[in-house]
Amino acid sequence: MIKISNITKKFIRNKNKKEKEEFYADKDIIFEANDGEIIGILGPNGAGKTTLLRMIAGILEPTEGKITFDGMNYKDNEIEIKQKIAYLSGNTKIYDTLSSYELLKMCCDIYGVSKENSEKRIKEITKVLGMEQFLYNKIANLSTGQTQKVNLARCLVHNPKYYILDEATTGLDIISSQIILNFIKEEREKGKTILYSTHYMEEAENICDRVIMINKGKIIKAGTPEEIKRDTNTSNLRDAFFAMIGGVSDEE
Amino acid sequence: MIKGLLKKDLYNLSTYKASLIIVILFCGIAIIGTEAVTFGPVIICSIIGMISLSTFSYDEISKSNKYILTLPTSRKEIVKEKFILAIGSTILGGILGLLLTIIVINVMNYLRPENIINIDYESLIITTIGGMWGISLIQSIQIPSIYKWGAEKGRIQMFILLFVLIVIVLGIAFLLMKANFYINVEMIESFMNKYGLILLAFFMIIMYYISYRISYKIYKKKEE
Repeated sequence: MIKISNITKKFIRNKNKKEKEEFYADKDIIFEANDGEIIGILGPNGAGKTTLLRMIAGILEPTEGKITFDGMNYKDNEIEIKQKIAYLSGNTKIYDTLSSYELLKMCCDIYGVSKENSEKRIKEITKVLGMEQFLYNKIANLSTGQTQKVNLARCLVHNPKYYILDEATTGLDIISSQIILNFIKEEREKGKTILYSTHYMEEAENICDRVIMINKGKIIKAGTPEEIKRDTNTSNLRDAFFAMIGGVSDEE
Repeated sequence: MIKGLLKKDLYNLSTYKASLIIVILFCGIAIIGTEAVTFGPVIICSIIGMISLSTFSYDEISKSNKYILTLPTSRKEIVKEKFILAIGSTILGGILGLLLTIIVINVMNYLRPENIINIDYESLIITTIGGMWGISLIQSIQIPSIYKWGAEKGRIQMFILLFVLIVIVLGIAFLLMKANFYINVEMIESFMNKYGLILLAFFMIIMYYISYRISYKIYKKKEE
């Protein structure tokens, strides 16, 4: 289980040429993600989704608050936690001078997967994600969808328990997106925990068990898609989101 | 885990294989053409030593810095690995350059017995270590610069820092000369002949250590 307790992240930014100001990318975020659950983190660009996921993945340190994985925290158990997580963002380009096979082999080496197991694991992952045709091609020559498949594949080599997926389907065509979404569902069946950030509300509605809506760094609503729709008296998460923020404005 | 990170960088550097072979061949030809014994170690050590720093660019271009931070390793180990790679490449470059020079000169001597080139092994080793020292100085300045400003800007900042360093050294020398400070060249020469190599090695270790501490301090605070 992932437990997020009062997470806050403060940054300093330029207010104008001379002055700087503090701003909160995330403030007092609280939620839990149970085993075998897909939690959708929803919100517009700049809402604080990426910062939140980066803190959970151990890339950024929270200004305040606590993150625990099965009771372990980054301060005392950094390596143990990182052995169990997989982080994937939509804008990672990965090492494109390597072939997909070389990249996966490299990732196996990084995670200390034995030689025999790494070959077996690469074979399994390649089959699951349908990468057989381009496994030995240079990543630089692959399409966006194929590259994102390789990106996802590299997250799987160490058989993680927690997936932190930040807009993993952004820019992908419908087929590539569906492969990733199906994969996420399959992993949930295996009892894995998935944190899934997206601004595609319909996508979240289809796959997430629970949804956390964020706007301007704060949770504005949390619950199952059904609960959120019921509470906001709307028929979909998109309308529910607008109902929560009081409609569309330039500022949003 | 450092082993895994090293493998990552070596995988990426393996794309330089062909270029490196061409450079070594070119150096071999240059040694034959110029008959300059000291040329090989310095050039090869410089090239291999600097190539190792291109792994920073690989990480930056592929936006892998965030991904690396999610790997089961600490920031300390990430910085340590870059230094191991830098030091390793400098040593490898020095040894390769030394061997290449010895092999090429001996082959030339074998093929042209009428025109024997004598190798002064002592000065060859001193030149090699001098070259390694120069590269270690550049690496020691460049690595923290890259951590601070990124691969692209870091390179420019490194040249600025190096320039400032040279100006300071020349400035001190100029002031000493102006103050008619007596420098006993013979004494320095005899001291360097005796302890030069130990001193260079000592300063190399100190430089790398200070650079590592600064790099870690910068990287620890850096938010990706």
